[in-house]
Amino acid sequence: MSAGGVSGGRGGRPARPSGEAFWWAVFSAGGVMAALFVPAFVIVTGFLLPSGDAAVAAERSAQFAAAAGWWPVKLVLLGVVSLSLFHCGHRIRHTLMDLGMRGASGLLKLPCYGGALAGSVWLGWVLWGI
Amino acid sequence: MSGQYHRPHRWAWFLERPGYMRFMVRELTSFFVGGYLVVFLITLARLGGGEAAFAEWVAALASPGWMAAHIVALVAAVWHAVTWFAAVPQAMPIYLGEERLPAPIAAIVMGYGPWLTVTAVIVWWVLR
Repeated sequence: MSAGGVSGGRGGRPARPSGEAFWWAVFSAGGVMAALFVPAFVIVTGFLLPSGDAAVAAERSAQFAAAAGWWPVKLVLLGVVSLSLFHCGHRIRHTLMDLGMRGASGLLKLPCYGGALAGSVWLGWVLWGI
Repeated sequence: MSGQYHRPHRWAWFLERPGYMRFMVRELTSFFVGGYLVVFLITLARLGGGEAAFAEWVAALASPGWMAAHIVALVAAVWHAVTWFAAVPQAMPIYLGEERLPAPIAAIVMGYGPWLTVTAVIVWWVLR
């Protein structure tokens, strides 16, 4: 057991909660969701829906609409997409910090996490109306 | 001792080593996955706008530009998944008694298996 075992207290720095641990937890959960679901989402909306003639597109669109309109699917979509948005926001923020914007690490929270929050709220509102 | 010392490095530090480059490519997938999620949100919003609005949006997605964008998004999403599943056995090792589950098996059990299942179910749902 190390003496300085307080979160954030390693390396002799003062243990001050920065909120980073929370964002890393959300990052991990969202990373799993994005890995499991996003490739399939891209296949469906990027290739299966727009391919083929109008009749095929209409049929697939109807299946997609029926699936997205079922409330258990809505709940899964809300969870998966909002966690994935926060995952991307966190990773984009840290990538920009690694590319020289470390001084703006606090300021970057607004577009990165704020954007993910706005997208999640928008999705909730959209799903409510489907 | 005053303050912290920041070793000066050039902006494009990730070009210095192949390992740094792989790291940066992995991190940059988040920009493309995030961009796709915005398009996915728009798609769902169009769905809420009614059948005609959705058909119009889907027809627009058939353009070569959107197809190219979705190919890029798919490559980024798949690379995110592959690199994520490679990291999972390191971040969350599974122990069976005293034995640690070998990394490739852990990646299949916790990564590739669920991934293929989820993908198959979603694709089947739209194509059936």
